[in-house]
Amino acid sequence: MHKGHPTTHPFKRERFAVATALAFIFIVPELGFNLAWLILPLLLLGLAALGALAIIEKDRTDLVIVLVSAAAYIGVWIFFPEIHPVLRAARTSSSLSFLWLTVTFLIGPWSHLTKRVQPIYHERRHFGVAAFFFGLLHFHFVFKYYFGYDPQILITSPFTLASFIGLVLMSVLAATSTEYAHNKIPEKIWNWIFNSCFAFLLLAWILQLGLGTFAEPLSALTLPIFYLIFAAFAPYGLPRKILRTVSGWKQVHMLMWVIYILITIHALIAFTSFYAVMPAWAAALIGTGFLAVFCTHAAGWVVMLVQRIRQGRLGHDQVVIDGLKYYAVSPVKDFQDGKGRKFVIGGNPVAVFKIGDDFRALSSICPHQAGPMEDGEIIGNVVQCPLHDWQFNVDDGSPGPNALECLPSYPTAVQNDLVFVGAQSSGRCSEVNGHFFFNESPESE
Amino acid sequence: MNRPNHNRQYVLAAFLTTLLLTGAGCVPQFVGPRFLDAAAPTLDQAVSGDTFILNEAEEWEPAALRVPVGTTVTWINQAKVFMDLRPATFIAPYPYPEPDPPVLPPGEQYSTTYNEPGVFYFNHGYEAVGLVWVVEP
Repeated sequence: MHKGHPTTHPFKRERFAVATALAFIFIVPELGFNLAWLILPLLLLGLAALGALAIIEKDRTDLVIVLVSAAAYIGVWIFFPEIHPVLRAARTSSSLSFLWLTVTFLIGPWSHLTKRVQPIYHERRHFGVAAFFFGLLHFHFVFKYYFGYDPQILITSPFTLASFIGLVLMSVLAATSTEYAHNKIPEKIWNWIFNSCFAFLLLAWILQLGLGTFAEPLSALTLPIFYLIFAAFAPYGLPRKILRTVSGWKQVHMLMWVIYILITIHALIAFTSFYAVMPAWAAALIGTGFLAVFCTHAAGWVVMLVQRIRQGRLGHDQVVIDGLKYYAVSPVKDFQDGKGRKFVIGGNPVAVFKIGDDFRALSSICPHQAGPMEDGEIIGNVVQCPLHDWQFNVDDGSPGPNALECLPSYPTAVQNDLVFVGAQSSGRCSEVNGHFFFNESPESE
Repeated sequence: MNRPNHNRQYVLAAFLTTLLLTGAGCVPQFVGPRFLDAAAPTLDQAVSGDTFILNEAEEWEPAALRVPVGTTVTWINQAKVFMDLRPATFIAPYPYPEPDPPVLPPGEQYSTTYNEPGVFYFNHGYEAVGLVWVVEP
């Protein structure tokens, strides 16, 4: 469908890769104590199979995930021979899960801060799914070798409950991270998925009230925190107030924050429990990842704010054509055919594209997740957002088949070899305070 | 965006229920004996000997030992899972003779010598709590 993001046969490859990964995740931990020496060879065999698939499909992201993960397992096996093979596998898997979860989180804000990261923005879900798979592998090892498949242990302490809920939520996100789910699942189903997650959380909490041991000192603190966070991310919570336009997919996948906090709590309790006093290296490792995620997001928001303030102060030459004020943005010669450039017209960021001898102007902010439309690819008469492939007609900003909302468009004109952009949106979308509301929201009832 | 108002009420109800349950869940943390406190053995249960066995039901046999200073105490794993021997810091924060206790597979054992008198709690998992009462000979 899209250049650079084929969606025809990779779906079959993905299913094969997922089936391979799940097979190894469910088989390898079942070897038992006596065959524990086989764990490393089998894990490497599984990773090799996934790596071969990645090479066949020329999927560099999957290949990087496989190589880094294999290196981690081999390194731990070499440098920590005194630790039992089951523990080495379990702990390496959990570390990899935390690593890929952190990477998943960092790609988002970094793609707004630098264009270099944008190419892997599409691949973000690969890291997220990898985080789930390694988390599931860790879970299987621990569930068998520590807890003897006793299901009660999953909810009897904040330590296990936090990780169990995190894993269940990760499974929901992994299963709904496909392009098919992104584009085809209707809004009502997304709300149903979100509310089901909330109901599951509530049920787990009620069960813990009856069975819990409340042994860990962090329990009093952690439980209120993650329930309040979950409530804050409810369908009418903070995201809709801040982002204004949040699709059902985005709403559900913002549970990543809940997952990340839960897994961090799980790791903190694990280390304090293992060592009685948490070692400095563990605190530094978890703290660095956690701070990187939160500070990078904060930095991204500050950069966006500063850019908007600066751009709002810029002035442009003006002309009036047919009663409408037009602003000069740049000489014609400075444009490349098929490429976009960003300007600010009356405080609104606008992406201007040269298509043959014509120019088209659209809002530079994708209504989905504020992707930079000026970096989008022109395919025929549509422009495609570089982040999630939402497509819009370059003539009027109307949404393509995979976009839920439209994009404001602006009239253009050329005079004296200068490109001018009209001050008023000519599409069916209107603007308010620099944010874009949509006249026909798919969520309106 | 036009959101249906009745959904807000459900969310508010869920939010308040969550707050209520969260508050209720914190009560046991601060009030009364905690579950594991109650599960821990007492000094009058201590018997003579120098070996703890983690049985298949993941319980300590015996649950408490009374040993003279200088005794080497051994923990043997006869369960089908890892013996996750740890200082029960939630009962008695310290002292514990081993800062990095081992995680042992079935069939293996761990020993340490107690050279100071005191009461040392340890646990495996969440419920198997035991103690070593070290006394002057």
